Amino acid sequence: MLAPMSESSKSSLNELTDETLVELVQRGGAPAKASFQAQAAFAKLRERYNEQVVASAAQFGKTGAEDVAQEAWIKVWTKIADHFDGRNFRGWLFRLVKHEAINAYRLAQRKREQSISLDFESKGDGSASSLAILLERKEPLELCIAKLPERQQCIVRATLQQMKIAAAAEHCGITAAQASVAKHHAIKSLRACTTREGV
Amino acid sequence: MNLPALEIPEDDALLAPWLERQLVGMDLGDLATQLALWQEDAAPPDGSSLDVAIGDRLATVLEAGLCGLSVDDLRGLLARPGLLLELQARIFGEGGDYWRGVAISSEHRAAVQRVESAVSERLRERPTLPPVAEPVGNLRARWRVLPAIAAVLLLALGAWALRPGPVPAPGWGFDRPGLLTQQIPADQYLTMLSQAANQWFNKKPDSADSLRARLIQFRDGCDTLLAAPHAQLAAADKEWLLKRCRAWRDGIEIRLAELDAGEFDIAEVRRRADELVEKAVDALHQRAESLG
Repeated sequence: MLAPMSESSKSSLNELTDETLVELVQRGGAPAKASFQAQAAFAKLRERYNEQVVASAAQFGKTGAEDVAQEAWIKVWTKIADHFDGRNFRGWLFRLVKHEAINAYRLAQRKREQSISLDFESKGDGSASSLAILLERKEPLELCIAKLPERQQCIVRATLQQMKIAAAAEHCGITAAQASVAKHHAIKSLRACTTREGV
Repeated sequence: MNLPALEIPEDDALLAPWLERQLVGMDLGDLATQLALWQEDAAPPDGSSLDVAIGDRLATVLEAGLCGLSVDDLRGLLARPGLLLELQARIFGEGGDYWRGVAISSEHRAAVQRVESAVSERLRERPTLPPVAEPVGNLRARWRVLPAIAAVLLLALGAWALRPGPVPAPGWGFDRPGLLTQQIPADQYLTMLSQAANQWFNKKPDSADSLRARLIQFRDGCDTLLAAPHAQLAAADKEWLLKRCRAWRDGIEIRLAELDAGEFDIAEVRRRADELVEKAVDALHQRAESLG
């Protein structure tokens, strides 16, 4: 754990670019002072980007996102000396986070499918893009929506097609007040269903 | 699961700030998935990107937020949710300070704190430092670091609590220093990778902890392999290698899951891991021979 820093030292670190901080991390080696520099610089990078790293880690769902973010930061720490080329730290960081998030999603998916055996030829071409995963995640949600009463389904579909409540009500043949109530109940039911289904 | 797509503001004036919060928040993936439910073209049909969808306003968006976009532009983004994920990636990778000032939810803030605590804890418990290496690239600018070092050394004055971490053992397997940067023909390169994978068999961990550590090291080596440029290989060989490497990595993850679940005894998990690595070694060797 880093010791408390003086205000002037904090300010000094604040003024450094990402790439300069990275150089300090990369220099972190055996000497005690160097290792302290590395940890201080790495803490500053986390302070700058942790909010965004956590958000990015959640792009395929919030379940497990914190683990993804944590693993990503540890990988940054262990890989930065050999695998960062000194240019555009942010780009490198968020590619790594995305890579972790995709791997975590695919692993969780396989566990759900109980596909424990590994077939080298047919599984895991690794080409799952963010968009492909986004589309895969639709299915359980569709199942939850299908379980809603008809009126609620209609309102949900209309809302997801970006109709405002008045237009959605007209589309579904009900009053705006009824539409609001139906939407409220639908949200409540969908939350419960998606939680049950582990979406 | 939150349902942000069902909570899009009715008032158009609130749409931009709401969407900005989504873009920096933890619910964007859920939002995109929900918006994609009844949209055939979650991605642009022509494969176009944000540069096409927003055009020359993208630079302004990255610098100053969504206020420069019309309601139609914003609705257009919501109509093609794949672009939302792309925009988030651009904001995080290239966005200006404006975006770091967009408020995040209390749930998000709590998650950030938990992640920071966990990472700090892990570094404190096992402060394996990154391997000592010459910084890659930008060597001409090394002199610029000197003032920074001086500044940071000030921190050390009050840093009695921090213990220096041990010097890490040299990496093995795909993490072996210098392995991936050798300028050698493709067949030799693959042969060396095969030999590197074979280092797995140098140890026979007999406890759960040591096997877990060994598996994690191999998995991290796969990550190293996935991130490397492999300039020694032709495109088709590189594609083959990355595909295989992902499968190996997944296999190791499954072995780790088996170990953690206690589904099999340690010897069985190790046998399965041995089998997996043996296939990896053979595959690399055969590919090398086919090129030789």
